[in-house]
Amino acid sequence: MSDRVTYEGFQAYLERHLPSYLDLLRQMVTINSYTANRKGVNALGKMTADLFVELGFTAETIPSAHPQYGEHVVLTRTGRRKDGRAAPKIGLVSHLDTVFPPDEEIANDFKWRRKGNKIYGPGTSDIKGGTVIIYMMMAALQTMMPDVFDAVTWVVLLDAAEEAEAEDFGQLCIQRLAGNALACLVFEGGKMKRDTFWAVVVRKGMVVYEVEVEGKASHAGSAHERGANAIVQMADVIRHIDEFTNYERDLTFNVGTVTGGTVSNRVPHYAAASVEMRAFLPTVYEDGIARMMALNKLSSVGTANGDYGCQVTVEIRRQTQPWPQNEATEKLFSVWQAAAKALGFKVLREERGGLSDGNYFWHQVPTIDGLGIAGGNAHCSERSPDGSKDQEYCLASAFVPKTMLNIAAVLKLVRE
Amino acid sequence: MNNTLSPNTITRIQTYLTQQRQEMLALLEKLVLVESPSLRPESQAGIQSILQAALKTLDYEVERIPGQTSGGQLYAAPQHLPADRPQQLLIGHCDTVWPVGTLKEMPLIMEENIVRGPGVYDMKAGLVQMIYALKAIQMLQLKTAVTPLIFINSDEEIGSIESTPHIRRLAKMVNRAFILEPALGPTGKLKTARKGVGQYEIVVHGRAAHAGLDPEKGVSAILEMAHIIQTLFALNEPETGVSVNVGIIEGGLQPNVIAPQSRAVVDVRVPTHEDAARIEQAILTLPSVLPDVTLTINGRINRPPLERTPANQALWQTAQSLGQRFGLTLDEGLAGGGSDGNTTSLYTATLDGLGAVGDGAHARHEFIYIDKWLERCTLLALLLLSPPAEQ
Repeated sequence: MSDRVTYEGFQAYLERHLPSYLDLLRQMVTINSYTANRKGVNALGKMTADLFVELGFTAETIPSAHPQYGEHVVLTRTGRRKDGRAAPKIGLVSHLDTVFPPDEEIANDFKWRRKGNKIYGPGTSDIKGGTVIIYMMMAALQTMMPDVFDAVTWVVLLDAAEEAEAEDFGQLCIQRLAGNALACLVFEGGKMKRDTFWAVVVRKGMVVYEVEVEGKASHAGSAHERGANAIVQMADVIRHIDEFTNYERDLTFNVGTVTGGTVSNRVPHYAAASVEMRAFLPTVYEDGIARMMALNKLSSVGTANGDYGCQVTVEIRRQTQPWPQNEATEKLFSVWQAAAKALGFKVLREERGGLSDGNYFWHQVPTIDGLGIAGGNAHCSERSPDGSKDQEYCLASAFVPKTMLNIAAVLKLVRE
Repeated sequence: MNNTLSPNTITRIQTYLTQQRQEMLALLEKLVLVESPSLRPESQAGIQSILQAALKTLDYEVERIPGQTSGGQLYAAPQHLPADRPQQLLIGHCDTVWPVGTLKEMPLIMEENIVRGPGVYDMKAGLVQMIYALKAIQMLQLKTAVTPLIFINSDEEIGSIESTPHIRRLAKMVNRAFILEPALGPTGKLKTARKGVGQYEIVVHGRAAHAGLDPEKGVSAILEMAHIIQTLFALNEPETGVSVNVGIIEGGLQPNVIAPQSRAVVDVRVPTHEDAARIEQAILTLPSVLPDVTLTINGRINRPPLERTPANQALWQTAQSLGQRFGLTLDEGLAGGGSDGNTTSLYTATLDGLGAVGDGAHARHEFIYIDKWLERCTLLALLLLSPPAEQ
C-alpha cells in the first residue's frame, strides 16, 4: 500500500467520523474542569479514560501532589512486536484542567457554542481539542493500521493541574517515558494557516519571585522623619527590575502585583510584590536570576537621620527551566517536516513564550509540542461588542488535517 | 480686667475640681467603657446619651444632629442664651480610632495617677474636662463674659467630613474657639500650630497583556506607579516640614499578567497655606511617564493648616498668663496631625491641645495623668471666664 493510498484512507475515515469526534469534544467541554474543581477534573478524567479503555488501553489514576487538585490519568496500551523485540514507546501528553471557574463560565455565558467553523467553549483549544486529536489518532490507527498500532506501546498522560504549573506531573512523565520512549508529543494548541502548520520546539523558562520590603512604621503626621517608607523603597526596586528587561536577549520581567501599607497616615513598614521573569536561553535565564537575587543587597530608602535602611528580600517562589533549542526536539521536528511534505503541507518552528508540561521533561524524553488543535483566545471567557475581546475557540476544519499530520509523522517515527 | 479672677476664685476652682476627682473619673470610666469607633456610626448613640445627660445638668439644651455617614453630632447651648453677649466655642469629639472589642485586649485601668484605655487620651478625658470646667463655673456661681457653646462631633478621626460645615458655621459666630484635643507630648504643650492635612488617591490605568506570550503589548500600571511614587517622594521637604507619605499601594492581578491598574493613597502635611496650594497643584498635575497610561487623581487638603495668626497668638498668651497665676508653666508646639482647630482658625481665634496630658494617641499604651488633667481642667475654666478677645 503506497503512502498516498494510506493517507487517503485515513482522511476518509477521519472525515466520516468527524461529527462523532466533535460530539466528544462537546461532552468534554460541558464538564467544567477548572484546576481547583477537583470533582470536575476527575469526572473528565473518568470520561476520557473510558474512551481509551474501549480502544484497549489500561487506565490508572495518580493523585496530584497538591491535595486540592484532581487525579492525573495514565492510559497505557502495551505493544507487541511479531519479532519478539521490545515495542517502541510513544508518549502523548494533554491535560484535563482549564483556567475557567464555574462562576466565570456562568457570568460570561461561556459554553459550547458553534458559529460556522468556530467552536467556542472553555478548553476547546486549551486543551480538550488536543485530547480529541490524540483519540482520533489512536482510533484511526487501530482501525486503519492495526498491525502498526499493536506494535507500539502508547502512553497517554493527562495532567490534572497543568494550568497551576504542577511539577509532579512532569516527574510522572519522566518516570513513565524516560530512557525508552521514542518521543513525547504534547498536544497544546498549535497554529495552522491553510496548509502551513506550526510546531513548538522551544519554550521560555519562567521564575516567579516574591519581593518583600521591610521598612519602619511611623506616624505620617507627628513623626514622619522617623519612618522608613517601604513603598518608596519598593518603587526603587521596581525601577531596577524594569531595567533588567532586555528584549534583544528575550529576557523580560513583569512586576505583576504589588501591595503595601495599612492606612495613609502611617509611614508604611511593609510592601510586597510578585515578579515574573521569562527567558528563552538558559544562560540568559541564569543571568536574570542573578540580577534579581542581587537586589537582596539594595537599601536606598531609610529614615531621615539614616539610622535605619529598608531591607529588601527577594525569594524564588517557583521556577521552570527553559526548554531551549536541542537536538532531540530538532530531530523530531524534522520528522514532522517530512510528514508535512508527504501530505503536501508545510510545518514551521515556533518558539513560544508560555510554558507547558514539555518544559519539565524535554531533557529526558525527545519532546515536540503544539500538536493540538488550532484556535484562538485561549484563557479568555469574555466577549465585547466591539470585538476587541472574544471567547476561546477552536476550528472545526482543523481537526482532520492536524490529526493527519500527526499520524503521518508517527508512522515515519515508528518505521525509522 | 480679670476682675472675676481673684486669687481666691482660682483657689476655689482648684479646690472644687480636686473634690470632684472621683466623680470626674467615674464619668471618664463611663465614657471609655462605651466603645465608639468613628467607622461604626451606630456605636455613637451610647456615648452621646451619656454626654447629653451630663450637659443637661449644666442647664444646657442639647441638640442631636443626625448623621448620614457618621454617628451624628451634639450641639449644646445654655437654655437661656443671653442675646447681647459674645460667644465662645468648645469643641471635642466622642469618636475613637479603636474598633469595638478593643477593651478586651486593652482594658480600662485606673492607677494612682494614671488612667489607661482606648480613647482615654484622644479624647474622652477632654470631654470630661469640658463638662467639669463648666460645672465648676456653675457650682461656684461665677459669671462668664463670653457664653460657652459646645460642639461634639463623632467623625473627627475620619476627617470630620460631615461635621465640618457645622463647625464652620459656629466658628464664624464666635469670639474664640477652644479645642479639647490632647496636649502635645509628655510635657503637655498647647497646640498653637498644626499642619494642614490632605489625602489623595492616585489610580493608574495601564494595559494588560500576558507577560510570557506578548509582554511588549502591555503597559504596566505598576511600573508607572513606581515612577509616580518616586516623584511624590521628592516632594518631601524636611526643612520646611512638608511631608508627602505614600501610605498604601496596591495593583495588578497575578504575576503573569502585566498590571492593568494600580492605586496609591497619599497623605500630605503642610505647615502653611502657601505650601498647601503648591503641593496640591504638584499632585493634581502629576505627569505620566510611560506611553498610553492614564492617571486619575482625586483628593484635596481637607484640613487647612492652623497657623500662628495674631489672634491665635493672643489667645495662647492669655492661656500662658492664666497658667502662671496658679503655677502652671505652659509651652506651645506644632502638631503634625490636623484637628477641627484647623477649621475654626480660618474664622476665629483658636487654641488647641487644651485636653489631657499623657501619651499614646492611636497606640496601645494610650494613657493620661490624673493630676495634670485636673490642672488642665482649671486652666480651661479660667479661659472660659476670661474676657472676650479684642476683635
